[in-house]
Amino acid sequence: MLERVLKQGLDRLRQSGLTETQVADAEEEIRARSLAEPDPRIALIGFTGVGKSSTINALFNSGRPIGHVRACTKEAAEVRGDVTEFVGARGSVVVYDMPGLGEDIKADEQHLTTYASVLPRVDVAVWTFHAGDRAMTPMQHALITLQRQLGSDFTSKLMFAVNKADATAPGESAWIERANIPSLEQRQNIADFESYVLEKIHQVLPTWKGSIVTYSARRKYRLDQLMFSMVEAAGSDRRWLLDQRADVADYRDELDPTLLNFIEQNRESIGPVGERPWRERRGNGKDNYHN
Amino acid sequence: MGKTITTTDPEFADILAELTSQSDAVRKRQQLGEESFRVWLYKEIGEIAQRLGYIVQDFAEFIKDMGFGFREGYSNGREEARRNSLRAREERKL
Repeated sequence: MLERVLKQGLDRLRQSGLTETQVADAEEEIRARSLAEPDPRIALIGFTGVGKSSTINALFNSGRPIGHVRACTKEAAEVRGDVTEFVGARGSVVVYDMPGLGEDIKADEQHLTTYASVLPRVDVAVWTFHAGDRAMTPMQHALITLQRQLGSDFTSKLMFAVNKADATAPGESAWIERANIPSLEQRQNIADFESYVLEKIHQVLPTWKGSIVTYSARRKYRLDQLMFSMVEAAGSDRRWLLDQRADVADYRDELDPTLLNFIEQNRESIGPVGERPWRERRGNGKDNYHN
Repeated sequence: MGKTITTTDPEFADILAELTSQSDAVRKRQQLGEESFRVWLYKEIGEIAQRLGYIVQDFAEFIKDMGFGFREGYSNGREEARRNSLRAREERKL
């Protein structure tokens, strides 16, 4: 609950002439309604092995495996798919695990039916790729079919993600471990692949304005950027729920501590970065941000 | 470990860029979350007030003026808040 915003709203009610008792009742009801809001719903589209589970752990449980998971059998039956509730560190998210396309023409038809039933239900749909997988035809066919069936509304909640940035060509050995960043060559290949994916999407959805994020769940690389893009893709009255549940694994955990210490000790003199909100570890293991 | 680090280290600028990008993403996400909560909250408040028999004066207009980046805008003065408001954003889109 964003207390400051709530307080502003309640003040407005007071100014409008409601008594303190009425305002207190309203506050109680608002709090109850906020708790009753359905959990954020995320569709993850992609083949086994793209790292869907590790992505959920990295975004909603600081990278630790989520132990408390519950299969949503009723919903799974309705959409004929795999629906699971993950109880992360800051609450639940419901994940629709949707298989990737391109293995088998009959299976693809079935999967497309599943997509069409799932997409209207979710807050955000993340289409995941293997880094460097250039077979985009199944995705393009799917987008054309879904647009025909659902209209173009679903495209606003659609984003694309490429996990395993560290496996980008020329391969994992090129990753700069100490700085936890891709090598120059990997960065170039990541940028090329993102441009390639964007071009293929625009061939079938010319007005799509969503995001493509290359990240690594294992290396905790660009996870905050991925989470931001997911929140942005959600509907304007639902974004707060996704933001509230986020417990994103920290990129800095994988940095060489010597390097990190140097930056943190000198952050005031470094320039623009010193003006950014930095995370500070609190005693309880949660993150704290300050300007 | 123990290696001397200087700002001329080859990875230094890249790490700074990465940290900046990370912090920006967190801040923008929180900003979106707050805006979104505002949208949700005022819809709920409107319903509750109406049920209690109150019509909150200028309520729809008030929501529009609740700013994108309201907090920052407000501290910089009324005009900045107005420029950052949802109403101003809508007008800019037209």
